[in-house]
Amino acid sequence: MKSKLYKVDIVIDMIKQGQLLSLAGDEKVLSKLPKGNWIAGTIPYFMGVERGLFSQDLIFVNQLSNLVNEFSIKEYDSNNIQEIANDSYENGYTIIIIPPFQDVHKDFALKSQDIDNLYDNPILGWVAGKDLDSDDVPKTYNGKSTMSFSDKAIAVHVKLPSEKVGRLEIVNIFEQDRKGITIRPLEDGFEIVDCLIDGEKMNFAKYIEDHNIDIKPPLTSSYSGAIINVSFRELKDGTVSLYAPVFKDLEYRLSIPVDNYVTDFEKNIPKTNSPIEFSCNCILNYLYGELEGKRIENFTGPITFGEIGYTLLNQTLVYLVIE
Amino acid sequence: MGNIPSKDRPEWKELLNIEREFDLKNFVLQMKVTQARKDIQKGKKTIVNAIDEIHALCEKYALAVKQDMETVFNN
Repeated sequence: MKSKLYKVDIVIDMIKQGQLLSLAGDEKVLSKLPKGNWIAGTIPYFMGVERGLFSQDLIFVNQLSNLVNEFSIKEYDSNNIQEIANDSYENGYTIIIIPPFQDVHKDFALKSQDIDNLYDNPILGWVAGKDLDSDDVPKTYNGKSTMSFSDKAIAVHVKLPSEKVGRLEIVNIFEQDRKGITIRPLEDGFEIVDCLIDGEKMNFAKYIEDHNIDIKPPLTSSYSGAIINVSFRELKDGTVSLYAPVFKDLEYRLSIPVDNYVTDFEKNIPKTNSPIEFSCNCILNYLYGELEGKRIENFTGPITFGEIGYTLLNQTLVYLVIE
Repeated sequence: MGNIPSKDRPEWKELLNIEREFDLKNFVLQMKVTQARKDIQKGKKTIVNAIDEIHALCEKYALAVKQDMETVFNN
């Protein structure tokens, strides 16, 4: 699979050949594409083969393994997002692109772990984004119709032959600060006002300000050893806003700041004999790690406003291999 | 696919015991076990059902969960 950036005319040729594609690019170029077997989301930040870059002219292409020529493309909103796992094939994988801060985004983030059969097949993808210095609206695209949406997710379900299996993995370079405080939210959601810090009820925003805590590293919780990040969005009027929800039945910890993002990613990306079918990484890692102009070996893909790895993730590299 | 221990091994129940901490490595198994523990606590799932599902997942990803099976079953 050749997962990399291409000029628009080459992507148009791929579409005309009937290839199954997952695309990422600026609205200016995605809106030029013809009907075909593709899904897309807007984003102008990428990790290319040679370096991280911003481009509103190039499109990042994942040529998907369509090994048995059976796939389906489907739009999702709050009314049907709970069906996503049931819509997948008995053996296959699903790539989904979700618009940020819309109902479908919030519903998926808050309720994904209640979706029936969620873990039967890999469900991965990303949250669409935009030029951070623009007023552009993040969008998703259904290539079957070329329609774009600011409020609907788009997914492609791909069937795999019985002798193949899709495996979703994450690379999280953040470690929990096990010597530091524990944070227990009082309710599920994208905001924390009061919470239990080491068992004592406090205002989280005030605690962060009083203790001069760096909010570039994310909050973390352990899922049987998997460290799942929740990134800080802002502190305002006594409220901590987050890019993913926290859950009251989980305990959170601060994470240890990362010195060198490139080194840590390269150290943590496992060597695999199987080609990476799809991968993406977070805009916050790109910004805080100053990845523009830098290369991460063995990783290419869109730089996204959130990652999907069965659930909404933050500051995490997600990838899929077919074995 | 015959490398996954049988469902009647007591270690499967231990894996679902909320008091026990396992440092698993395979991502989908980590997520599935966490979810299963929550579902059992909330009464949404029985331990037997949870073991059935996790066992099937491990059979599907037999190679990828090999290290975790060694951790859980102390082989």
